[in-house]
Amino acid sequence: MPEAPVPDYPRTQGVRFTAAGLRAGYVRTIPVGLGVSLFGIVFGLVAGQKGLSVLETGLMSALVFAGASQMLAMELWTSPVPVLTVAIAALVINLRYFMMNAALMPWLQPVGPLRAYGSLFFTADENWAVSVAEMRSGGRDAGFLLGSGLAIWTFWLTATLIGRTTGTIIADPERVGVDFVGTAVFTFLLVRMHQGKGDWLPWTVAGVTAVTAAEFLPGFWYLILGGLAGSIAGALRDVR
Amino acid sequence: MSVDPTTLLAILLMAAGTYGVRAGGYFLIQRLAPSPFLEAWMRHVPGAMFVALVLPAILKGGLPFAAGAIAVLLAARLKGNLILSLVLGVAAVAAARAF
Repeated sequence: MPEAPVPDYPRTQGVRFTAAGLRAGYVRTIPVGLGVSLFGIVFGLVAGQKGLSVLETGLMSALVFAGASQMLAMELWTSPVPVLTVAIAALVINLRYFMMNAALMPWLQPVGPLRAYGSLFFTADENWAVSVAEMRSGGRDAGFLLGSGLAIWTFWLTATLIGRTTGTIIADPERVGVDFVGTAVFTFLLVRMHQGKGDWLPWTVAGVTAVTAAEFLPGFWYLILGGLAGSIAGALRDVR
Repeated sequence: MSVDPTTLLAILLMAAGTYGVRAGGYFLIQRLAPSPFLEAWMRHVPGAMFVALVLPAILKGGLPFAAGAIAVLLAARLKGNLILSLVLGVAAVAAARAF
């Protein structure tokens, strides 16, 4: 049975891109940015141990701007640097963005290629999550995405530089539970996103696929497979 | 304060690949003819991705993460405040580990 489309899902009509939206996105993402900072400090520390200079560490955080792949690169980092290996590893780990950012089309298409492709540079897991939640709740200002991306970018870059230069660390991040911050953010957004019984089929498919894939496959394949399987299951049900 | 050429090359290649996948999905979907299926798919990506992010992480994190997730779930449902939910979730994880 076809399900009625979610009524408040944004149409491409009426999408704006304003400074006010950008500011709102930045401010709304600050709490998540603080969580990301803890991870950034750890990355900065590890980069220092691997012999990256302050400038190199900053360049990587500013240009690559993807925590998990940067951390993996540090694990693979030897002398001489395995250039191709770290580049391919980054590509594979970040494949999830291919699917995630496609889902931002309702916001990106109306604002023109420059703003769209510029905003996409600043899209990380955390601000994608905050922005997509805003989009789904009917937000029409695409500046929000860039603002939230800039928030994560500034926190990430600053934190990695702090970690690299000071070499200090929170006594024991695990003991105080801060390693849970990322999962907590996504759990919160998931709960707020729940719109009704129609979600259970795609969510169950996503969950079972992801947990199974995480058991048997390396890296981030579980994210890609879980996200793909769940969203396709939901779409097949709705459109059939 | 120096930049080694090989390191710079590695950083630039990582950056190019990462931006490629960030922009590639949007580039491609824009060129596909709009369809009800595509629209329904996009609508379901966020929820499915969040489940795929959260569930394996909670299972891997064991009892403390499960306690944290329940705390976040309750706070999100009852209060709907992000910071409060984060604080309660992190506190629950720390408490579960302390015992």
